[in-house]
Amino acid sequence: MHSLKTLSAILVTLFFLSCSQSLDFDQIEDYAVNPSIIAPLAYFTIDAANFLAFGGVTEISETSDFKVFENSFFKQNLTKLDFEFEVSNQFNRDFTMTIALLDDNNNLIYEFNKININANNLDIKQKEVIEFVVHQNIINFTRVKFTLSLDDASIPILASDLGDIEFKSAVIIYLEANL
Amino acid sequence: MRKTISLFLFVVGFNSFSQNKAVLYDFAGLPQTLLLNPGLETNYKYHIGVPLLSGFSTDIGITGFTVSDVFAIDNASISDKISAVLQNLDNADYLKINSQIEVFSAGFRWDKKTYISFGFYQELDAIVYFPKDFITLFNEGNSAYLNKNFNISQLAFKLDLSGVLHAGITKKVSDELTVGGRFKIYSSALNIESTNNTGTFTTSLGSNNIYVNQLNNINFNQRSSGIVAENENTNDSTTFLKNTFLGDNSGVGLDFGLTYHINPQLHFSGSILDVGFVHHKKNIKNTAVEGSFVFEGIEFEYDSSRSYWQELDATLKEQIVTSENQESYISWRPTRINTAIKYSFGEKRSKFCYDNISKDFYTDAFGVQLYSIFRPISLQFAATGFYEKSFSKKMHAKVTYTVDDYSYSNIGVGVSFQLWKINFYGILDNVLELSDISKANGFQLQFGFNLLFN
Repeated sequence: MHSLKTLSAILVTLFFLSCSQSLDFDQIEDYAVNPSIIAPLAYFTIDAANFLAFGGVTEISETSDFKVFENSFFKQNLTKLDFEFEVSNQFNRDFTMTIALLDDNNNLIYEFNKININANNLDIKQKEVIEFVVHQNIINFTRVKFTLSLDDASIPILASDLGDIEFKSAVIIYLEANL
Repeated sequence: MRKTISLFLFVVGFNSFSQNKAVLYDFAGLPQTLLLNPGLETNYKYHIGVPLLSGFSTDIGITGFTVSDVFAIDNASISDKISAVLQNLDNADYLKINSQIEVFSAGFRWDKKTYISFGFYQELDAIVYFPKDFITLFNEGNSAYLNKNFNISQLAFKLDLSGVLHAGITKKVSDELTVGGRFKIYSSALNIESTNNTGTFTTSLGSNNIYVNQLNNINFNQRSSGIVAENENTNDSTTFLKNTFLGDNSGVGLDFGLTYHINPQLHFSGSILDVGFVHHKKNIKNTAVEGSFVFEGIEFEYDSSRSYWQELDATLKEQIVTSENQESYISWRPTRINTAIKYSFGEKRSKFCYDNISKDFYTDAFGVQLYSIFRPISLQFAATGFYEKSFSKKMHAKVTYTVDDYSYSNIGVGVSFQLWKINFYGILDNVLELSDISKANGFQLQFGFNLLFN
């Protein structure tokens, strides 16, 4: 009987003395997730016929919507965009690629350094980093315009120009979000 | 976020009881032991549980980390602490909560060999597995994880709030064998579950473009009942509680159990509980996401007027199809198995049982118990060694040592005593961690009041 009383007393004491060390839940406010997300962008392969199809033009372009910043999580937490471009040029001609980020009304938000596509260079790689703190307007871009032009516009591409240009691109989107 | 965590800990703090009731199992002939094994022996003529107070239990368990690992005040940066936790987290780690409250319970002896017991309890049962790959993706993104398959099968969770109306019979077949069964009518007020998902997300170097993102064989499903009614979310707790008693989403189940005396001092007991299901048919909302999608980027034509972004959006919706329906579904109860072998020794005493029949009992006992429960991803096990001591006919104590997913050093202690006709029992588990609950992976406490009549 005595031991049961002792045991009960211990149990009750344990229960009421059960405690927790000091915890600080405010720490969570200092925590941020830092995802960096790879997204493939545009790619294409273009040969002489593409230029000829438009009557021997020396410059062709294409525009596409790119509405990733319609997502508020991306828009509110962007820290950096890393763009990667890879080009292979089999033509014996020099080209220049101009890439521009535009808003809904086709106003220029940002223009990348031009990519010089030298003749017969099969391994052109260019990277460009856009820091949000420097270019806060960047989250307003909704369209991308790619323009490919012959450096020597006086001589159009001919059907006899062999080869093609392969273009690849990607972006790594860096975010930082507090929970 | 802080509020959410505080609320969670508040709930945890006030619901820290047990589902694997290792201490309660076959302890002191308590009426609540019949819910763990309807084939256990009882010695009273009838019992009445004190309404709402006869049996209250909850079980909280976290595997993989503890609250203190993240929130201790220790000068370590929160980022480092969370990274360390995520590093150690395993696909099978989970958070579970099980809480039961007995609304009423009673029982009476039908004849010398038969005891009938019945009652109604409400139960909240929830388990969520930590989807490590998704947490990594959310936390770090995919850029550092080329070729890694982020696995959707790690998304698994189940939450059920239901009421259980039950009636059971315990029958002494011979001096050696007692068997029992219990019939249950479940009424689910709220159910949401997602299990058996498949599929992966992978980023790798592409052939047409620098990278390629792939969603492979995605098959995700989520079923829910009781939450959405006429396109609106129900958030009235009274509605939920009302639906726990013979509501529309109902089902049936059975418990079986037995006790067998190998010799006067050694007996074996075993039970299988909640072999049953609930048929969810009202206020259903099921969601399924299926398909595969390979994204290498947008292939440009030049000087076209194509709407690439809209085309991409349409292709994605065509290939990864999200559908909703209101079809009824079956949800299986988490079936549990208890087995135990118990050796009694010490002083032999007599006690008066029902109808002035006296019965011998030993003052001491020890043995082992095994417990397992069928969970969405795996079976969970617990093994317990115990020592039980009767100080008198009406005062008993039990000490257990349990090894389970949460701990290798779980000591539990229980006492039961009776004053006049009023029995009280109280059980504390994981007592070694009581000095700092924030470092515990699980904590359990149970108590109840009954009126017992010989």
